[in-house]
Amino acid sequence: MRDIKVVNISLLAKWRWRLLVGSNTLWKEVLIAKYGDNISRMLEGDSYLWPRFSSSWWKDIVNLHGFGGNPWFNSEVIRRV
Amino acid sequence: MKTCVCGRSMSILVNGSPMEEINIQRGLKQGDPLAPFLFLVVAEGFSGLMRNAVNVNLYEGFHFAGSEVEVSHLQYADDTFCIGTPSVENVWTIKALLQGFELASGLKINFAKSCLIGVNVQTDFMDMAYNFLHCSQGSLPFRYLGLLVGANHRKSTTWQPMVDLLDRRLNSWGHKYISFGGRIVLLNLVLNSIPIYYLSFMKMPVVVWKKLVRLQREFLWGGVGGGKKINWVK
Repeated sequence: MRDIKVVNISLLAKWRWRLLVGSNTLWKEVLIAKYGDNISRMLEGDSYLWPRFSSSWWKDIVNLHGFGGNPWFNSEVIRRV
Repeated sequence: MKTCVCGRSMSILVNGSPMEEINIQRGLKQGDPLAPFLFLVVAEGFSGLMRNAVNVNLYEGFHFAGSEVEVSHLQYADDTFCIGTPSVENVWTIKALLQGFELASGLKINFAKSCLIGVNVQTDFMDMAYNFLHCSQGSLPFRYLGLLVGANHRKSTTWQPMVDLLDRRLNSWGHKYISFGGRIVLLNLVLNSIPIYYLSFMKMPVVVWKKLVRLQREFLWGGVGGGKKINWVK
């Protein structure tokens, strides 16, 4: 049986992935305008550094693994230049 | 392309035998795969109008504080969404643009289906704008491309329509005699793919997740008639 919660998390992780993979789309520009240039830094940090005006969607994306959970996304994704 | 649009003639099959040919001067046939592309060519005209209006400072889109990014409009096929600062000039420009677009393209805008929503705008300005544009009054949790914009997706009430939909779907399946394996396939392929669009944007609350799991289990183990049986969980 497919666990629908895992489906949910993986679909949300796709947003993070699309933010990290470089491309210039409008939704990304909007996010950068709202949350600043260090948007990918915010995703990499261990602490939950989001501004107070963040939307609940953005909080979910930043805190994908939940409070006290294992930050699996950052440990699996490696940046290579 | 021209032969597609200005095809010469067409005949209809009546009781299996073709009738006499009908002469079509122009126009796409219904269900033509070209139709969406032609529509996009026309809809892009509106986008161009908006961009131009922003460039010549007739329309002011939404600005982000301390940034140059300006969003004036979003379009997805026939779904158009204009965002702007609340000013009399903007309302004027929108009305002029829409009317100009109607005249130029021949498409009619359904103002009864269009709505205007004010976010932190004084009510007397909004009343003026509703009357001026002849469109209906919208309120904040509104539906755009199937998603509720402005709703709190952490509340389970936001998810209730989706849960109800799945419940109804399962009830209609309950009368059919499907084997255990068939029910697994049905759940995995059909039921779990209905909420995927919502799940790709919003994180589901745990309460909703539990509700969904219960629905699935009851269907899987209850089977025909919807009677409750023991749910064996691995």
